[in-house]
Amino acid sequence: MGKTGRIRNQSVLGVAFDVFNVLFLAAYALAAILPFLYVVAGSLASTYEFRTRPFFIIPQTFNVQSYLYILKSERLLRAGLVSIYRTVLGTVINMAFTLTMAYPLSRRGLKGRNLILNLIVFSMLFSGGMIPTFLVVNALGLIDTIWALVLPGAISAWSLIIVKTFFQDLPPGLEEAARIDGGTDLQILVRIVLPLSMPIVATFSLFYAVGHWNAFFDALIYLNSSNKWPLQLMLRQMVAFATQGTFGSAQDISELTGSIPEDGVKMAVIVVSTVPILMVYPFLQKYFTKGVLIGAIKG
Amino acid sequence: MRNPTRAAIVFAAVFCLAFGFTARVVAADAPFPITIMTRTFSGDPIKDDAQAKRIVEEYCNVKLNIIWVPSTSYDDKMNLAIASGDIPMVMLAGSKIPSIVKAAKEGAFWEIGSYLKDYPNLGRANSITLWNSSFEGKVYGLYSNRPLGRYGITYRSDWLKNVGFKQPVTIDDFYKMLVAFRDKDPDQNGKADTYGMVVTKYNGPWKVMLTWFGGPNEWGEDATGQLLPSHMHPEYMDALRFWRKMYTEKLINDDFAVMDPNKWNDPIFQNKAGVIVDCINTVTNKWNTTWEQQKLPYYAECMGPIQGPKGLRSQATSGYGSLFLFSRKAIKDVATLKKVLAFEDRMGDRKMQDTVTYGVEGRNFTMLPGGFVKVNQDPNIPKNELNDLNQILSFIPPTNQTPQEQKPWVVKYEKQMLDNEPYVVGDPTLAFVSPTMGTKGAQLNTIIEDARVQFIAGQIDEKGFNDAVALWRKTGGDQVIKEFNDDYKKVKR
Repeated sequence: MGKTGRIRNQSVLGVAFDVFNVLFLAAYALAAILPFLYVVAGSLASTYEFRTRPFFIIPQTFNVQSYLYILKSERLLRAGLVSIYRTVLGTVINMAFTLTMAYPLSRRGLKGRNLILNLIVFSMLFSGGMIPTFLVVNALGLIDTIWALVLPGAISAWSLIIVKTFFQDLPPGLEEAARIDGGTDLQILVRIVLPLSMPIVATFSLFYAVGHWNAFFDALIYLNSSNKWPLQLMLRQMVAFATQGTFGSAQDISELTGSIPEDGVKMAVIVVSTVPILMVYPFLQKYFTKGVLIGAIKG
Repeated sequence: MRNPTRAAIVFAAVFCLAFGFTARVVAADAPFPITIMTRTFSGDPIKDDAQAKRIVEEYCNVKLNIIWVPSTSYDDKMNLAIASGDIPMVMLAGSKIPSIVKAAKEGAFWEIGSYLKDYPNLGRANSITLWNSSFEGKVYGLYSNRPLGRYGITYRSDWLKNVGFKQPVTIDDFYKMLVAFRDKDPDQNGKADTYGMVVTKYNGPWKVMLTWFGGPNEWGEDATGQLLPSHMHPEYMDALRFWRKMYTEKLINDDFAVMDPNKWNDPIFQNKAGVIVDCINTVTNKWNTTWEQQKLPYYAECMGPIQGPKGLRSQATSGYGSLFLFSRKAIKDVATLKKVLAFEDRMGDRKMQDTVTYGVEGRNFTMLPGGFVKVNQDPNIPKNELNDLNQILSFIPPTNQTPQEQKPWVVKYEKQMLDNEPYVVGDPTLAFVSPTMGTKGAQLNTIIEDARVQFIAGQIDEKGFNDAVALWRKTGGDQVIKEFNDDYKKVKR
């Protein structure tokens, strides 16, 4: 009764606010989705149509040439697999190290905790820079391997601190209860803490995964063989080259004719590289909306 | 001498004996491994096992290890290679950026200038371009060849016919053509919806047109023989006034100061404008190819220099697109360097130039009678059978490449680019490096660029522009002038 009653009793101002809210958010959503639809349409349209029509959602002539091109390019397919591999492996490594480091740091009894935390904060403020980092990776023999992409950034200091803070806020009673029942530290982490932390695990898995999926710069500097490239490195080249310009004295277009991807191919590559990571969101959504500690402690 | 491998060995052996090395060093049959770092424009470079690459390896008896780097991030990777000291045997450098100059001065690369004459192909390198690509006269890099006279005008010849004009000869003719494109309804749609020339925020067209007015290409001598930047020459102001006139009379697009160069051709394809001043081959080819695909009766014509106060003049390019540098760390001794140079030399042979440009004969192209190449346009042939392979080549000498069976407009611009050469105005400072330009160059250029755009848009007057020049001089320009002139005097004597 209470709920419907409240809606009926809304003031004119309240209704106006709701209408405005819906309209504003709808416009906002549209602004976000239209460019993407344009890219999808562009990937299905002819090059000429793409260049002459300023904006369209439905192309006049459909063609799937661009997607066939991608399917035929072994390197693009391989790059897609590399990206998936890197994302999965990288995220697993990220989460394993982040969780196992954040949990002990969230326990107040840990010796040297403040020193470690300060060191972590230090690494957030100061970084070694590109060249020293490259030299370390080089000295460790990681150049041109997948490990150069997943190990150097195994723990993000920023994520670590948030996860640590989250662990800290779990009621201490839970851990005490588990300890009385004879649980070891590892058991407590795996059986008690993690199940209660699914929202944060889901969130940071997503952050890490998106980070891995979108990363291209580390692949650029650490990988030498082009058959180990992830998708984003190829995508960036295909798209950025066109916008950087094919004009000026440095580059001779006639020598490049043929190696510049068609507009449609560029759009198709954007679609192909965006859709997989978009599809991950719905699966993680439920963890975001779930209550965190419902029914954990009684009394 | 039937098989190329044996020919290569004999060649190398004779070569080494001639230079007093024991044949034992080179007599090894095994292919010589060469690592080349170069750029990919396509993002999908040639496959490792592609046939075209194998043909190159067999012909030159080498094992090619190509490190492909996306062109958009090339300098990052290159600077990292320099900083870490791990420079591959052959490394492409897009231009003489400060890190390259510094590395060259510190001895990271072999100086190859004195060796080139010993090779049949490399010995035919263009001396002007070698100078332009040198480091104060020292040749560290093997340049990749580009035409010197590439700049000119591309216009819609169907429009020109519609307005009843002939190809312009003088600057005034050019102006009248733009006016006619604005006023005389060149696309004959009954609407006043056209203008003359498309200009973007890229300042290339400005520099080309500055030479028409008698201005220098970036730097030029004044009456006393001192090198001065173009904006300190009186012709700069003449060109500026012309541009302001074009802007006020709406002969160019009024958003030129912010327009993305990537959209440069859009107004052309939307039938809004009819002229672009840039590399004639690029523009002419793009327009005509697009219209031909769409079966539209439009046609682009190109032309070179324009008659100005100092006669026919056109801006010269540097003549090279990139440099191949030879690492002292990866190439241990002169004997190895000579092997690498012998490879580069062999790559200049007709067969190699054709292979890296067109691919495999019979698959990617066929030879036509009369010595032309017909490229196989079959879309089913994967592009990564050939993509970017030409980025390992210096194209010296350029005449060793078999020409393609060409569209008429290609024949026209190829000829036009050669015809331009007697009229090109070179940039005398290309061989020099001004340290101040290295540190403050961006800031200095911005001062003049902003003032130029503001003057054209009518936001500042002549005094305002002179103030900007004064600011340029004060900010470090005077130092740049001094640095260039000190170097220039040393060579000029």
